[in-house]
Amino acid sequence: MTVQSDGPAVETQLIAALADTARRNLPDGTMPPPFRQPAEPSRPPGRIRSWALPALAAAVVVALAVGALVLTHRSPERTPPAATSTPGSVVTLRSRTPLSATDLRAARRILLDRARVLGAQGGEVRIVGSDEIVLTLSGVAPDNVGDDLGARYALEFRPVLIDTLPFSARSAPAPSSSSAGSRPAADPWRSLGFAPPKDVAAFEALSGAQQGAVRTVVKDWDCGNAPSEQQDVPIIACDQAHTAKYLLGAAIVASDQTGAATAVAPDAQSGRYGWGVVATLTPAGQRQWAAYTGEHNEVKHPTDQANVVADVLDGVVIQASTIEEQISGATEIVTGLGQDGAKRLAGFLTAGVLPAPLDVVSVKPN
Amino acid sequence: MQLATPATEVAFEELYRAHWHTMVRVAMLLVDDVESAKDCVQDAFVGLYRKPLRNPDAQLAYLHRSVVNAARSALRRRGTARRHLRNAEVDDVQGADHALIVSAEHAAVMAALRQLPQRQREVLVLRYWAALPEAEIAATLGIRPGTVKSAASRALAALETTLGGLR
Repeated sequence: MTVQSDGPAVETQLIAALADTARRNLPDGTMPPPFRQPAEPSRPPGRIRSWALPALAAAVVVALAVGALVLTHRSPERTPPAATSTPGSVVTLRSRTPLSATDLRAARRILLDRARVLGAQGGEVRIVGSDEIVLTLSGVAPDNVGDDLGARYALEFRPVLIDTLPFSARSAPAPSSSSAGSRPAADPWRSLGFAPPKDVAAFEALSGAQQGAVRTVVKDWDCGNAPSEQQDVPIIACDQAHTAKYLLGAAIVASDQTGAATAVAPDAQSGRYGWGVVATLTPAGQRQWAAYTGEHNEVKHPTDQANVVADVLDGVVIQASTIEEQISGATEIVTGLGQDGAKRLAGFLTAGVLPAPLDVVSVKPN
Repeated sequence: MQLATPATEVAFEELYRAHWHTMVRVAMLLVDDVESAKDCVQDAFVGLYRKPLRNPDAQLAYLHRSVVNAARSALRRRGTARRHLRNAEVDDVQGADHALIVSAEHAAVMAALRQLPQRQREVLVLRYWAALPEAEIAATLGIRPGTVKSAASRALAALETTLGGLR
């Protein structure tokens, strides 16, 4: 974005942003789906929310499927492979560094669990040397394997220390030759000269000049850099679409403190309109999470920056949200996925964190 | 059941066609994604269908109120106890390939908007997108007009601070 010394009033910016967002998401002239009358008899007036919503939701889904509008770029949900044929895949994954025997054993178990999530009816794992794993899977078509099969799936919760910065290719002096991921993890704090803040309080305790220096580091960060995986150190992370940059503090809940996850179905009556994923935490993780959310929430300190927490998956922010009140149970981490996406994410999280990221080198039909 | 006579059915259809688009946009700015927004709006129209209002002038206010309520429920229930403020894959910014720079600015404004308490966000959306007068915003949200004014100025100040950090 351009540097504006004398930018438009915030109201003007807001009006433009609202209008742009509204028009982009629902273009002018988009026709409404036909109104589906509620099928059930009337209920006493006064209540707005309706118990007939499941039926309506179904009606809306049908209407949307028929509807001509194409506004979202969401990938369509995959249909399961036909049961008649038994497609199979041979997947070769490779680690960038040699793995220990223990790590290889762990990787083998996790990959088999993930394969089951993908619908594999059977499979075998062959370990080649200390860095290559070959999976032979039946019941999984090559198209359904996905590059993320070898991703670590390390989920952490980190505080968002400052307001989010937009990221656009122009704002970073990115060397164009190297691609994301292949670049080694960079230490953004090398040039800082003082310890980077691990939480909001530490950031606020910095002098104005130091805060400015931290902001500059964030501003100059290139989302193509491999994100750091050090849990006790603040990191700069981007969202998947590379539209926003976050300065995140040390992990409140680390990736070895998250446990099984479950996909939860839409439930219109409770206001969940899409599939979501709920993660459980280990007892230690739960204690830390309850302690943090008990101290930092909208009830106790309205609009406090420390209330904002990001869910980070393999160094990428999948969601940032505000803590409304103390959370002592399972935590919903993301919503708005399709059924397949939610089940896949939940299944992969449940399978566990790979000891190292594995690149999918090849996927061949079998 | 005899909820609506054919004549009022027609009137309802007209109302639906006339306001669906506007309402979905308002809801979308409150809940961040179009699909949830459409569900909120459907919900609101079902309420109106079930309980037709005598005074046609009140219909729009009723719809606004229902949409805001549905959006609140949707947001409230998105997390077990967390309000979902910003889904990282924000639909509004990655949707188009063009106008990248402009959209980065708008994305920053929208991101800042999502960090506000929901009440303040509602006030801003109703005021600066729906362009409702203060009294109507107050009626929609069930607060006093004075509160609308103060919430709006607090929200704008917060936005300014957040966005100021970007320059």
